Amino acid sequence: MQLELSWPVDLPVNKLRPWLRDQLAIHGHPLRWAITAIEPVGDHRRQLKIEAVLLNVQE
Amino acid sequence: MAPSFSSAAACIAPPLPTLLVVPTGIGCAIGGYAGDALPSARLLAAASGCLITHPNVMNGAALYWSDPRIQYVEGYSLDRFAAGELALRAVRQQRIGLLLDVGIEPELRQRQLQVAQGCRATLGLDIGPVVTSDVPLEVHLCRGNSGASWGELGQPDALLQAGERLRDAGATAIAVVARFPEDSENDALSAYRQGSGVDALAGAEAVISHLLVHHLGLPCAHAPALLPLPFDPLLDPRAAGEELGYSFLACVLVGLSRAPDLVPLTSEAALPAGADLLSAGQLGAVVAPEGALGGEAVLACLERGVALIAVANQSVLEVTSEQLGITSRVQRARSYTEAAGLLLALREGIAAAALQRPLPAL
Repeated sequence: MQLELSWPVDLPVNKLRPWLRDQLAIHGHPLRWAITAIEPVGDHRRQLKIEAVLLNVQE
Repeated sequence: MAPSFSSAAACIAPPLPTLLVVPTGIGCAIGGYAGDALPSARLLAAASGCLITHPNVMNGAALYWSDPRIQYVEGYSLDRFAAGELALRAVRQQRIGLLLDVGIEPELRQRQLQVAQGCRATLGLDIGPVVTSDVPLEVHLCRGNSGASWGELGQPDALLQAGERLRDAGATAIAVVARFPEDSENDALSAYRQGSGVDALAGAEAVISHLLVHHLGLPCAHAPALLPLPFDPLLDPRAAGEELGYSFLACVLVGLSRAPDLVPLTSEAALPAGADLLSAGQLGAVVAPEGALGGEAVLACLERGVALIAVANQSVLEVTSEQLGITSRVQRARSYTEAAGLLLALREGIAAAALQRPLPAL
């Protein structure tokens, strides 16, 4: 699946991985995933594009 | 007493365990083809004394290299290792079970078995038993919006059940050969063979091995079963390893033969005292392409404060240290040669700034 997430402004990069896993876990168990793009969206905000393969994807 | 050259060995610093990541399926200029990151891995292994890397780096189809300083760790388990959920235990030899997709045609299946037989007779590998999936695994290839290759299995349960049979029969590692779809007229394939574009098979291969490792906790790796391609006089050297024979399996068997055992950790404090295990807490550095820093292993290393060496290695991705906001924490290398120098400096306790000019004053 492919999804876009807004990187919380107060989330440091060294907390990014567990946060992303929690976001992916909403949809299923992440088997393989990566941030494939980061786009600035103004006001120091960044939009993350994630591509992932999940187990037991919940529609 | 005359000087002795043998004293040189005593001056080498202890190994600096280093993670090398070259993500598969994103068209890396170095590492996006048939094990063409292997020379870089050999150099980094020499610089670090202990390199942990994944099959995409080491697998050259018919070509391979075995180095006791290189730990062959499948991608899913590499991520778990970097996250502190697994430790690695060195082995003398794995017993490699061979899992064949029943969807492989008889002669092509025999080719795979002949590779296994050759590896037993010529390389002394411990291979067996052989298990065939109950139904064809039905591999499907797809591409993400980024251009990265991905894949799916139509019959994942058949893969896992066959893997369980191998584990129950005593296999300590699993080599999988799945039938992949053919499309020799495909423009993307032509581009790949001539040194551009993305390996369309890579994403599906990763999913197959990730599934097995997640389910069984054993070292696993995958080789696709494909018919030989027509001769291409413009074949890129980086892709040549995949067109030397009838199978991609040899490198997988060699890699798995000494792949470390995967030891689950409930917490890093749970490491058994005195156990000869390698854990993420011992990592001294991670080396990754500058534009592909968004994978789980690299992000896990950033959590730990592991030194990151970002190498110029173009791919379809642009997830850079600048975009992650970590430029002050990253050492940049223009090549893997330069990365090896930075790694050696880390290992020897030499500040990288002292090796460059200008050297800013304090």
